[in-house]
Amino acid sequence: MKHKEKVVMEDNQNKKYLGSVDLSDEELEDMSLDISYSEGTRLITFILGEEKYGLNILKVRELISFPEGLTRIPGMPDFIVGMFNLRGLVIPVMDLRKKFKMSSEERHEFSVIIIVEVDNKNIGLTVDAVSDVIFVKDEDMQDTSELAVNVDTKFIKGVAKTKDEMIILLDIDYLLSKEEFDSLIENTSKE
Amino acid sequence: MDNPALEEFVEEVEEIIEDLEEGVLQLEEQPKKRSLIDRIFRAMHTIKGGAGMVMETELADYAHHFENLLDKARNGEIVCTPEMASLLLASIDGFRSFLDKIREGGDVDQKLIDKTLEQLREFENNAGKTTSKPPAEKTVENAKQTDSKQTEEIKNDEIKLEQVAEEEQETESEKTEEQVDVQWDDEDEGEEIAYLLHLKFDSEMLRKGSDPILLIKELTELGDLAMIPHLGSLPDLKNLDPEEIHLWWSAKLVTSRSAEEIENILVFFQDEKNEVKFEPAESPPEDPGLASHGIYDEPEEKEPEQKEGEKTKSESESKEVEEPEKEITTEPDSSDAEQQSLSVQQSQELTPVKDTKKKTTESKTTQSIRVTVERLDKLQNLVGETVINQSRLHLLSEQIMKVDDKLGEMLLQFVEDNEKSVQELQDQILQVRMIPVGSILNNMKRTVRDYATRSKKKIKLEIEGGDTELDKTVTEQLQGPLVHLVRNSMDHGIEDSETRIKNGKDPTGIISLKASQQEGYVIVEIEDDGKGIDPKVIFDSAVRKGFIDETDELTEDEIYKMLFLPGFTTTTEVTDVSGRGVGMDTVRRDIEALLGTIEISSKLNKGTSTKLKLPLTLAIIEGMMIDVGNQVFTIPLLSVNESLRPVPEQIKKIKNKGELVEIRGEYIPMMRLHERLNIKPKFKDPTEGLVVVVQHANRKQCILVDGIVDQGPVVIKSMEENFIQVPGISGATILGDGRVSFILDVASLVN
Repeated sequence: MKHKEKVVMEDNQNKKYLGSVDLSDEELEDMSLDISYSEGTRLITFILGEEKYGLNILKVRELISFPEGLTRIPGMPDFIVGMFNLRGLVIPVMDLRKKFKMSSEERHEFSVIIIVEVDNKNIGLTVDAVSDVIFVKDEDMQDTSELAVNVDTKFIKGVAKTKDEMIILLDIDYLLSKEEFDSLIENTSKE
Repeated sequence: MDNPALEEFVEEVEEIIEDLEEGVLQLEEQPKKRSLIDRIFRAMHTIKGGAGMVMETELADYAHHFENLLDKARNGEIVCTPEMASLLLASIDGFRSFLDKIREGGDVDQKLIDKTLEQLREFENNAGKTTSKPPAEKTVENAKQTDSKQTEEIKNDEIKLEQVAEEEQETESEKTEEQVDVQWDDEDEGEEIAYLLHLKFDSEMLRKGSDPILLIKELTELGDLAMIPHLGSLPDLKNLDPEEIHLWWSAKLVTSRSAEEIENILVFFQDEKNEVKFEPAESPPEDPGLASHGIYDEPEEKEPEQKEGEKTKSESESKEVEEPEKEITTEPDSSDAEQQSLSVQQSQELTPVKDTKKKTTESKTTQSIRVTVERLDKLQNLVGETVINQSRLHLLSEQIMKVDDKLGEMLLQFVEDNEKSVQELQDQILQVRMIPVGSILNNMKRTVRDYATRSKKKIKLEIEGGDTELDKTVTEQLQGPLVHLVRNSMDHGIEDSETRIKNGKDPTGIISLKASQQEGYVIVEIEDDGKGIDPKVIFDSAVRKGFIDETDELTEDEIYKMLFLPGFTTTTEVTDVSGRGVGMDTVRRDIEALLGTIEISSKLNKGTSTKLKLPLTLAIIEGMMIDVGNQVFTIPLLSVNESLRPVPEQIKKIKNKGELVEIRGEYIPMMRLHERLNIKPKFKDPTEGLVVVVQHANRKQCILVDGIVDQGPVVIKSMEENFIQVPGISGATILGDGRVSFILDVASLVN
């Protein structure tokens, strides 16, 4: 099945598979140092529009390429793209671009669905491309107050600063909370 | 609870408790059945031992007290009275409290524990005296003791109960006085006599529409039947006429029934062409010497068969009868003599009938393993995925065939072979999830008993078809509605004894629970012989509540259906047992959540009957796949009445009422699925598309779709598992091509 393929990520010319421990020596060193010095979080980072986002890797179940057959759910807003079959599980997919009201872009070869697990539910998120797995120390994270991003800040937990870039941290628990989902039904029934 | 040993213990005790409860209820009816006391004693002992092993000393102590009581009963020092049964049942509640504590932490219900132990002490004191004091004095003595010892709160509840119990105890103890040793009922059953049967039938019998299996089945109901087939006259496979009987049988029947009863059954098979005879065996059933007559008892061979599951005895036995036939068809040379020698060998180890039985049940428990439902769900998902991949493989091999004939043919052959295994795999995994519905039907015994002891009513519960199997989830979720219905029957149905006698009925009311399987559904019927429901009362109540107009004319059926309306209840008084404001509509909703239906019918003064129709499993339904635009939806076949393409004359438009379709004189409202779901359809004109008539409860609805794609069993996936409940959709399923199809929620579409 096509969507079962593992996603290969480019990372400083080192090819590695997500979820494996096959990291470069440099990285291993980095990580061990990080862990010994301070508390922090491992993030998976991805591109959405102009910006780079991150979410806690512990929430991520797997990455898949875009499935062939998505079935639209009647009565759902357009950012709920539909549901598909992942090895016997029926999983909904949310288009993050549409959700965050960005201009929608044609899918290309890097388009990926990140399957996250929140509240024991598996949900797919479409992103433009997955870029990296990084470790961010707690002190490098900031809250949302001084942010100017395209995205409604209620879905943003904060930002993480690395040497050369800024990563927006998604509040995935809120984004995919039961309240948010339930509001989908209320909104549609009002229409 | 992280300790696996403890977890296992809790699960084990839960099972034991169920058995214990059932045993106690049976014992109450047959207080002098030794085997029952033994069974209860063993159960209690196992709890005690197990509790000791996992260091639950309090629980062990608690069980110990009751074990002592049972030991006395075993030794014939006391006889089980309803009071003792109540005590034992109370101890079960105590055990449950202990289990809750172990599982969830917190404290045991110490009040309950102390209360039961207190009652136990009293009972033992009283029981000790019964043997030495005349019964009349004993009652007085008892009453005094209860007065002095019992706290106010217990008194109110228990005293009435105890007085009833004591009266009965009085009669019981009189008996024990006369005969110092208890005469066990089942030892009386030592009257069981063994008969030798000789069953040789007319070889033309099957052609005449009769069948030896009918006789054998009837005989199995009389007692323990052991059969041995004689294969001597069996022809070669090529000469075998499957419509002729080639076998004859010798059988041993151990039964407590009279010879006439056996004669009455045999007489239908006795004619000049059939040799059907029976005679009492000379030797008692235990005698291994019988085996020399070519008769054996409960052969070991049977055990592997019982492994397969909860097969009833008669089933396995009748199967056994068929078995040799099958064997023979493959191995025509398997000789009579071999069979005989085998049976002789087995009979050497022959033990008395009762012991062999015990052995088989014991080995049954060791042959099963415990698996969490979660793991089964995972397995089922995997199997579901395999099934889908299988059909993709099929498509692929057909494509390969177009390019390379030979390779494609080979692959297709393989894929088709594999398909059988996959199908079997799917069937088996579903089978594993099935449990006998008897477990929850039996739970009702306690409910009924407790109610009957508290109220003035006499109620007997009859259970039939407890071995009918149903998906575990369905079975579990059936419990709630069932309790509700049984309580309704007890509370509103069955009258008190006086009224019943006045109405010329037996003072004891009967509630019967019947389960059976019919065409892929399980039917559970709850029937009582109570006062029934007066349609007029329902009608008036419905008018009062504004559901209907006084002038409305309704059929009896329609009237009874109103019982399921939310907020509908005929009684104004709220009792402790039923009528807490949640009415039959809750029951209906529960049953519908299980994809089942409910029907009620009643005859005034004759009784009420509620019929539940449930799918065998929640995991799979028969579905009709229809398409709208490029999307495929599934409609549960259970709700589909018919489908048709209407002619223009059938379509009527009515102002404010939308479109109607006239079908055989009936006007049924039509809903355009594409409008409802906001999909661009292939056909907007009903005469080009297709109209599916669905029914929910008594409402019919036409649904306009593009066409039917397929029909067949579909595996149901919950929407909520990974998303939310979406209005109009009851679940999802995965189609053969791997795509997701939504299952339409007919109930919401109809309303």
